[in-house]
Amino acid sequence: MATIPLAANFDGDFVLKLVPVDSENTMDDVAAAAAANSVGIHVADQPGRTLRVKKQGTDTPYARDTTVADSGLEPTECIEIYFE
Amino acid sequence: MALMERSEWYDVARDTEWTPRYVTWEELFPPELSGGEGLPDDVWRTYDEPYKISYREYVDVQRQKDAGAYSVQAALERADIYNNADPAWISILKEHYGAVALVEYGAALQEARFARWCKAPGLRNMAVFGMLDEMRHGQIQLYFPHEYVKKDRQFEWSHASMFSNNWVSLGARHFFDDMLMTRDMVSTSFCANFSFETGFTNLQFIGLSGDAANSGDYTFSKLIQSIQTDEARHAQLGTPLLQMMIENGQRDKAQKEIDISFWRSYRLFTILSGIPMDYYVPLEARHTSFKEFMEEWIVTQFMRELEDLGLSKPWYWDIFMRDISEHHHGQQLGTYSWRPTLWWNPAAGVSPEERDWLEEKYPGWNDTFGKVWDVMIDNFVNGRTEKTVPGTLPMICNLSQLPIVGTPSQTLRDTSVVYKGRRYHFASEVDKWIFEDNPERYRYQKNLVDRFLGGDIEPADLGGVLEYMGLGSIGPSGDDAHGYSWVESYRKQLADAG
Amino acid sequence: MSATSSVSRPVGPILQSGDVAEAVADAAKVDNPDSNVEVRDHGAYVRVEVDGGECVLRRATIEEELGRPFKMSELEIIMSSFTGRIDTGNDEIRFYR
Ligand SMILES: [Fe+2]
Ligand SMILES: [Fe+2]
Repeated sequence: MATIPLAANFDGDFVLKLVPVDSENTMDDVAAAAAANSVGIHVADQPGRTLRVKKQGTDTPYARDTTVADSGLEPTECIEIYFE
Repeated sequence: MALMERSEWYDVARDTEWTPRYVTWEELFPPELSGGEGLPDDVWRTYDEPYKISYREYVDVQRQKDAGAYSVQAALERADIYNNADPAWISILKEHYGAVALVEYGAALQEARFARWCKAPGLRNMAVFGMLDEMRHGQIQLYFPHEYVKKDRQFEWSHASMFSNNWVSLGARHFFDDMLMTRDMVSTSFCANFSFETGFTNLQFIGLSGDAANSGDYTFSKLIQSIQTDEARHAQLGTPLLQMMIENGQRDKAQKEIDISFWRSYRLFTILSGIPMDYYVPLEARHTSFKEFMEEWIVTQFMRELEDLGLSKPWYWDIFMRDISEHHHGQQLGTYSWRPTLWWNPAAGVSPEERDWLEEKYPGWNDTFGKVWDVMIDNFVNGRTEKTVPGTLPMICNLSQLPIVGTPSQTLRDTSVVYKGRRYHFASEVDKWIFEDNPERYRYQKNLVDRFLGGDIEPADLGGVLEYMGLGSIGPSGDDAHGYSWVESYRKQLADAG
Repeated sequence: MSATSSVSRPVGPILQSGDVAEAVADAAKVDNPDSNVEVRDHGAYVRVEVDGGECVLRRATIEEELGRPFKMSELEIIMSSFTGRIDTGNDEIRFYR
């Protein structure tokens, strides 16, 4: 258990946001944490669609149950969150 | 007895040069302060300042400039701009004075360093006038806002901002420390006199003076143009130095320093000029967009000066030309969203009529930045005010100290490097290039997010951040300039549609 | 308002609007008879742009246009900026490329 701050680039947002997550969080948890700072604040909701997370610069998203610890993401690295 | 023509005595009078006997030339002008390494020793005496003025003329002219500015201020005091102008105009004054006034004293130190450390006697002489110019700018830009302090505590920031940890101040200090205070004399001259003063100050001090006059604030219009007449003179200090560098085989070095300082200046002015010009200036007074001012003063006028000297456009010209239509829109969204962190009350500038103007000046605005505003407006209209201020911090650039923004779904991305075990984030490729060119220079500085994550800010929440920035103690936090009255038209639209 | 100028290699002063600015703009036309002189009014400021890379302003001409004595150094009081390089004299000021 450790807090890991990430830089979140939520698709449709205009600014990177600091999102602290826990190393044991899954990517679904991470997506929810990022969404809490963007959806309904700066980005319109898309009900019924699933949020996915990928590392900036990669093409494939993480599996939804991958944990932050398993992902190898380092503090303040940038992730992209988008509606699938 | 008739006075001699200036040209008859000038060369003798200004040439306060002597041969040192008790110290060596290197001790008198240490390279880390004086710069110009590799230039032949005899070149300095040939420095010929293009804009000549005698002390007698200087005092006479400066007295008249001050008399003009102060008399306009006195005559218009009864016009009561504070109560009669659009509140967004008052926000421009607050932002301007807080960001500019104290910095002018920094510029006075910078000119004083020229007067001591420059190897060219002609430049030392003119730098003394430059130093006096900058002291005038500091004094007059503290005096004018002072009359407003009793009406509005946010004007306290005119004097206090640069002593605070407000994020805008962190950005401004990082910029001015880098450009004005910590380089050798020759490099400083390129950054300050050339990029900053010949280029960008025109944007704020002349461009904005037009908006001021259109908005009925003749006092401010007169003041900032008066200041710029000094800048026009002492900005000329750098041009012959650039020529000397180019003629002595150091063109590439000069070009790199211009490339660095041009980008740094540009990004700073997106906050100082870009946001006010396109969002705060009342629509009926807003004749020229930030982009159009940039095209007039920078893309056309400044580039002509640069190319005349035999220098080139910066390597990132394509990035820059795209950026002038984008970046400040992101910064407006950021400053407005995190408005409690500002020392002024930002205007949203997105009423239906203003959005039409933005779309006309920046085609595609509605489909990009406008989409974000749609979400915010929906929250305002439906009374979800708590959702209009984000609960976390933005990522901040380790060079410009500004939030990392971009066009939604197009250009927003992180640019980062790991240097000696620490990860640094940048708001553009150019910021990263500047850092990587000299990482030892920049690596130790901590931006607001570094301080937050490092435990310097307690409690680690928005309240703690505001307190750290001096908001609530120096002056009240920012809130919508118009008390959200602009939301009414959207509320009405909703009611009509419903 | 167009940011691009119809004159080529323009040089000249940018002045705070007012009677001195008007006199200087008129003087620019008198003193540069062979060049195209464009005066662009931006409200608070006026751009005087002279074609061909040189703009000469003579003190005597400005005095004539103004109808009063004028010291060349007084130009600085209203000259917020200029394009081109500058050469300052007591009786003449020159902008050039
Ligand atoms: Fe200044
Ligand atoms: Fe200056």
